[in-house]
Amino acid sequence: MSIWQWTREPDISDALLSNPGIGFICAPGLMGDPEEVHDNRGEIVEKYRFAPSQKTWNHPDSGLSYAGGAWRDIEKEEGCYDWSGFDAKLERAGRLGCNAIVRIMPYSLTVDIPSWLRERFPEDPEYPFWRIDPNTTDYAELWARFVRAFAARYDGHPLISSVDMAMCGAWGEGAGSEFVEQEKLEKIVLAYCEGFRRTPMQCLLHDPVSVGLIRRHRQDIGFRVDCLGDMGGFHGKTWNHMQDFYPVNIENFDMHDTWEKGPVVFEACWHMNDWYRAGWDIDYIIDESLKWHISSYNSKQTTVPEAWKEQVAGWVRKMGYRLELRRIRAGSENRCVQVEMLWCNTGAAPCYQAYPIVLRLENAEGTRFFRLEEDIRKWLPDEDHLVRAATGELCPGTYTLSAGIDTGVRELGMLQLAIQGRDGEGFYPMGTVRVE
Amino acid sequence: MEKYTLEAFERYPMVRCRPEETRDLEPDRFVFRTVSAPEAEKQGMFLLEVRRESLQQMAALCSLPQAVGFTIVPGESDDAFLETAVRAMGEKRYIVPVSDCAQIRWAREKGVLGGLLVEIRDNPLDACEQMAVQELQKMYRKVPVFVRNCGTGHSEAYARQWHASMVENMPGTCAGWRIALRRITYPRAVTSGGFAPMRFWWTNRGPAFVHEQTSVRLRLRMGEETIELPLADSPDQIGLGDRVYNEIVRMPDLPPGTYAMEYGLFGENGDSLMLCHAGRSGDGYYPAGMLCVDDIPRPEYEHIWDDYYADGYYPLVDPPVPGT
Repeated sequence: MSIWQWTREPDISDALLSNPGIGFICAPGLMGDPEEVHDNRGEIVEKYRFAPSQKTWNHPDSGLSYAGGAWRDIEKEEGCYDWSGFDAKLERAGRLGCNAIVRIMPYSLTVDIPSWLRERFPEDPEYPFWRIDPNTTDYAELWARFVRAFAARYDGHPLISSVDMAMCGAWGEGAGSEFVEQEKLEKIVLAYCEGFRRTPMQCLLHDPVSVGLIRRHRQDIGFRVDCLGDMGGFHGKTWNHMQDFYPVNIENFDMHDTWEKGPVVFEACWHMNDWYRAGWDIDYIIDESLKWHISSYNSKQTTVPEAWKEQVAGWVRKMGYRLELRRIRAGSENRCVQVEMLWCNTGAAPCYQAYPIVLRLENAEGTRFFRLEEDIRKWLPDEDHLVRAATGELCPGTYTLSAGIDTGVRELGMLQLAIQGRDGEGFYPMGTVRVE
Repeated sequence: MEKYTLEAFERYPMVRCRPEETRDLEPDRFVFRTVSAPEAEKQGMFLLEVRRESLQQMAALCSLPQAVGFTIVPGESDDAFLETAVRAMGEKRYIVPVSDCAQIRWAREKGVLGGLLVEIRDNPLDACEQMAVQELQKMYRKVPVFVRNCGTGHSEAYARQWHASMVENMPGTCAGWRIALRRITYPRAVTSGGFAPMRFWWTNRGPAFVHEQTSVRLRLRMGEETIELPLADSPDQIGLGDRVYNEIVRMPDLPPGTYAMEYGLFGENGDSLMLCHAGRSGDGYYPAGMLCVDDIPRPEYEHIWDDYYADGYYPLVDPPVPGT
């Protein structure tokens, strides 16, 4: 005789979800109740929301933020680290209900290396995107030491979604890394690879030398690029990022399947509004990014043209993971509740955090929670997965069974699933089960 | 700064040819019908459905090129019959119903699983669960998935989810592959008898792999004469999304001049695959621009791809904001 008392198929939701680690980087500047909304060029645009319940104007809500910092602000004295400013940024992300992609940059075109290092090397090198020459100085050793300190403090931090591997070049975006001596570069690569064992990372898709070096040490690192949308802004039809650099180099650098283990992170070239005004094809840009298994997109916190609202909403629904609990059946045996669940990830990428599925059983006597062992990071796009679970022994009675996925982080709460019926605690009640 | 510009980065003058794309040239190519009786009409492609009593008749149809494979109906699946049937059907692909766990297990153990047959009846989630229970989610990477709609509901999204290679009773559903050569890069001029570095960027926009060995062919044409160029590294399997690879083509000795370059993608039986481009020739080739052949020695081309990544240029100057 079957142990199952019922089978349910929850109603699927097409709502825009805000979940940690995925989607647009949130835009606090477009939240609240502004009288006017301006686009990236300062022009007033009609206010709209992606859905009435959303709290951001002219931009989708998000569960992901960005936290950056500069070396010189943290290591003001050699070997002494002041993390308070960076901690404050993570706390701010948490207050927004987000986790964060983080990057500490060694320098930028306007932010210098630490002053104690500048005193030793007063000259800027010839390469225009370097502020210090990694080949003729001990930059690599010092930056690697900093990265190890960074990792020692933040690896596995619950509010960090992933870490950008910043190795050299302005903003740590890799410029000139192909000119760095391999031995020097490897010191930095190893600092990241050995330091961050739990937090996912992405490297710049910059050149075959640096990417190849990273892949020799770790195969689970995703990639990041910062010019999504460029359909000809640099060199017209001769060369652009969307039709030349990205498609060819994702493959040529052997990074085409890294999305299965590490996040793929894009940043806008200029702003989406600029793409719109240039008449570029948003459908093409979106389709390509999904083909490359995008998890998140940094829109630089500027407005989405209203004419593109529907396409962008569709993009958000596919970006990163999107988890449907498609079918659940429950029953009891030996005073344990038995459950079978059919889950599907209908997004474009997996979840890179091992958030557990949690079953909640409630009756008048109290509430019990059961965390399951299933590793949701293995749920690749389009895959259905059957999860079987049994609770511990229960007292006879009737229980209300709910399911959910818990981030385990107070600020982030439970994941939003692509089904109807979420309750105030982030669980999805499924039905009652008798235990005899 | 000049030495970091795109012009300086490109050590060799290259041509980037981007063939214009078209869509869905063959709407029926990825459609099949299930045939369970030998007298059935034999137009289009079909899947032979084998029962105990019809095995010999079905086996007689195996030689028909339209027969894309065979399936054994669930319930006929004792091991002895499966063994007999698979032997009788020869080289045809054995497309196993996912609803028959015993048959799937047997086919996997014997190494004869040639494809999956997913039947959608009243509720597509039943098939989703069958796929999940038997951990068949990634099988589309190895063998084709045939999706048959046995009900009346809309199930296009499921066919895409399962990466259907072929569908039955699902008009308008996107199945199979959609292949385009997005770009081919080659030098403006190459040396007769020398080397021609080529970089191909292919995309498959369809939901399914190409489950047969493929080969790229390249040829030059001048007037009535065509010269086939030997390719060493063309991919023998095409999956989803992009596929980029580099070639160093050994050029034959040719009279100097400007040649029309043409490419095609061919299956294991030599048939050309229909690509998402216009301009297909009668024998399955597509135009890819013009190549100049001369006698100027360029020995450096033999190893060009070892340290030159022509697309890896990193702009160090922000251009004007587009649209201003």
